[in-house]
Amino acid sequence: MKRARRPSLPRVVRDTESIGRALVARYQDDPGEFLHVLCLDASKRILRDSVVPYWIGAPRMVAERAVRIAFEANACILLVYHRAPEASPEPSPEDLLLTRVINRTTALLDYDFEDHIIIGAGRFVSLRQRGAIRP
Amino acid sequence: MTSLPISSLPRDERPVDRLLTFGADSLSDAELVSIIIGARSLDEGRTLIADRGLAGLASTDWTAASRQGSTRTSRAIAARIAASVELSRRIGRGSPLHSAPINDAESIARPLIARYSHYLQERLGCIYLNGKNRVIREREIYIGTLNTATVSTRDILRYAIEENAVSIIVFHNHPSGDPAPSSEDISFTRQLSEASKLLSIDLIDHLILGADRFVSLRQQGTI
Repeated sequence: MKRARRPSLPRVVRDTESIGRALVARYQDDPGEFLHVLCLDASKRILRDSVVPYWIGAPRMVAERAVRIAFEANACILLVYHRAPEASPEPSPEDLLLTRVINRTTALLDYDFEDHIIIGAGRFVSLRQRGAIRP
Repeated sequence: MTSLPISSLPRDERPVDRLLTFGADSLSDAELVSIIIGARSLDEGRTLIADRGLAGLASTDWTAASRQGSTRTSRAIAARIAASVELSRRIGRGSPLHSAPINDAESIARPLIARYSHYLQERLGCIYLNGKNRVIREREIYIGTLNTATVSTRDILRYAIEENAVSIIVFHNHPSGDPAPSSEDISFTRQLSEASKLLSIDLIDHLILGADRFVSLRQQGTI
């Protein structure tokens, strides 16, 4: 059985709406849960899209792994996204905690934290739009 | 300007004799230079120092100068200075830095001061250590302006990860010669200390190098 080719991500992250829709289009039919880090350069071009392995762990360790990936990719802006385990992309308290920890970690290392996007049920939630990422 | 030949000076005023009697460390910069270049008059050494200062002497490209010298003598003089500046650099560098494990700030700061005190711009570097406190690598990461360097914790720590370092020592010079930490130095050190903790890297110290002194931000309590 051959699977249809998934829509690819844009080369540049223009705004929350467009990247959110692109992520939904690409991943809505994928099974399971996963968390990725999207490494961007200063003009928000996508340098790398990597899975953060074992993301269900202490938020601190997830943030550390994401940052290590960013080091390797030579990125300066990070965007994190994950597929909701339940169909709804509404953020859980754990998601909010993880966002805060990543926000703090990236700030300490002088990275810009673009957003944390949750995808599920054919739509997405941007935690920046929800006000969970503060300077 | 009349320049008195050294041979006409009283014996106890000639640089070489003064060195023999009082030791090299009691000679002025101009006297040391005049010995190195084999000056016939003290003014030759004095003008060199007066024109450039000690820092200028170290930062001039004497190798290029000796290539461009118009006469054989001027080329020879430039070559002598080039050789002695290079030699002092190597002495400064051939420190315990790269052999023995590092245990105290003093032993690492002294050779760094020798190398960094003459720079006219701020430079920030980092020494990456392994689990046995031995140097894996030393890197200069930023060169700033006279009094500022824009630095990012990210760049310091990414090399630590690349080199698999267990701990790091950061240093930078103050071209003013005064090693007293600025408020930016302190806030940056706090940020770096927290950031390295996140990555399980131990920030051992941040040394600020002045003209002849240094400040350890660990001893001073910031870390």
